[in-house]
Amino acid sequence: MTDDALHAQLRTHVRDLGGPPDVADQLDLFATGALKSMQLLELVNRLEDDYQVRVDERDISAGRLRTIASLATLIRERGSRT
Amino acid sequence: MTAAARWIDVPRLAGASAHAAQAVDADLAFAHPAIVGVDAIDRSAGRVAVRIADDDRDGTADLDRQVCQAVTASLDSFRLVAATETVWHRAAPTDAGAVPRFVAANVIELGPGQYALRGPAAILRAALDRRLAQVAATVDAEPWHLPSIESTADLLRLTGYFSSHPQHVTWGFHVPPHFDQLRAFARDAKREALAAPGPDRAQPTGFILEPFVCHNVYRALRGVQVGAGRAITALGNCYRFEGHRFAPLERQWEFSMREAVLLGPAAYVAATRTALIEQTQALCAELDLDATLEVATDPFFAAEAASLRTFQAMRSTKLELRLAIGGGVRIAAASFNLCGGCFAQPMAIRADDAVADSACVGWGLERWMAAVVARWGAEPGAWPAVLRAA
Repeated sequence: MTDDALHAQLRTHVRDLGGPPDVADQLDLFATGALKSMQLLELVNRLEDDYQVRVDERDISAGRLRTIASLATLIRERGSRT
Repeated sequence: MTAAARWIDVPRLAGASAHAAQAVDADLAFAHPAIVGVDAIDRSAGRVAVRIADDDRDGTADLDRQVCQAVTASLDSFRLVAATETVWHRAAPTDAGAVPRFVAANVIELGPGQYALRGPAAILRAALDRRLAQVAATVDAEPWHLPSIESTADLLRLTGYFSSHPQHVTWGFHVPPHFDQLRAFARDAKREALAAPGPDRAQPTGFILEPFVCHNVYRALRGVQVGAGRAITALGNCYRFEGHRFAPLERQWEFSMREAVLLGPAAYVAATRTALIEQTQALCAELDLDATLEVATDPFFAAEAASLRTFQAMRSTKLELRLAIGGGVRIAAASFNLCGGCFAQPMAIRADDAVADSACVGWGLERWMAAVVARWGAEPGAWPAVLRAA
């Protein structure tokens, strides 16, 4: 999967969770309120189910779920479906 | 009241890390009303021992189910939260027996979590508040006074407080202002020595006893432009139900909190919060208290905690000052919370042309009292001079 396609998929996830339709790659999804706190675990579940990645506490504390770009990097490093 | 111990299997607990199990003891306080204590949390065997009141021995199937659910939810809420990170520590000696001696001499229990402070205890509380008000004054915080009750109509709903912390809330009820209803209740109260109106007569007042001082500050500033930044400080009585875990000075249903609320552009809020952290560290040094500063998360209701705790951990928005009170025990005595636009946005508080950022800093007076007593002893003559007079 190309980077553009992966980013587009992640934008779809954000939109499906109630976020805006076309977020920028570097937008902090949670600090800006694009996604709410209650949607964080749903986002984690989607990443784990759809991309076969295991998210752990270090990813959370390192802020690796904050932007489309950092999510894509995480999936590239861990995933087997991309 | 006598109590009996009961072991309850919780499969999810088997092999759980100490980090994941850190909130189990607290969360068990809200698992079932029959629980009057927690004797053991056995992570290797996957079971907990709770003490239950003798007259509640029936209905243990429901008790077991509630305990199992509460512990499992508590453990799950830490799955994506890293172990507590200590960012600062200063060591000082403590006397494990000083707080119990001080409480026995100067604190009178009036009911669950309700305590009268007499003589030296009242003086120490007032002196600590005076010193903490001086800390707030270093960032030019305006002194305010606020009510101890707060509306259920706006901020609490908009910020989701009732779903994130329902276990702590004390709601207010009254008999409606209707002559016949009041007369009927007055008659029954006299005849039956009633302690409260029944559910058919009680009506919600539309307020709760406030769990924080800051909520009423945000409410008071609804629609206000704070420009380059504004700080407000107030001492308040706060109320949090804690199940069976009440203990004088350490965990009270009613307790005293001095808060500083910071509102303005993000840079002002962050810098002012940092200044208050540094001033608080300096106060710990001045009073020679054993203290740590840690990245922390709130005591969310276990069933709702997973997302909220993970979100808070991701953003590292909460720093907690923990003070030693003897016997290796440390309790949270201050917290420094970055709130972003969480409170300002629903109250339409603006900083120039944007929603204001905010931070809340809270100091729990009774816990500071316990730390001072643990360090300097139960006799006021041994305390630092600044704390000897109200």
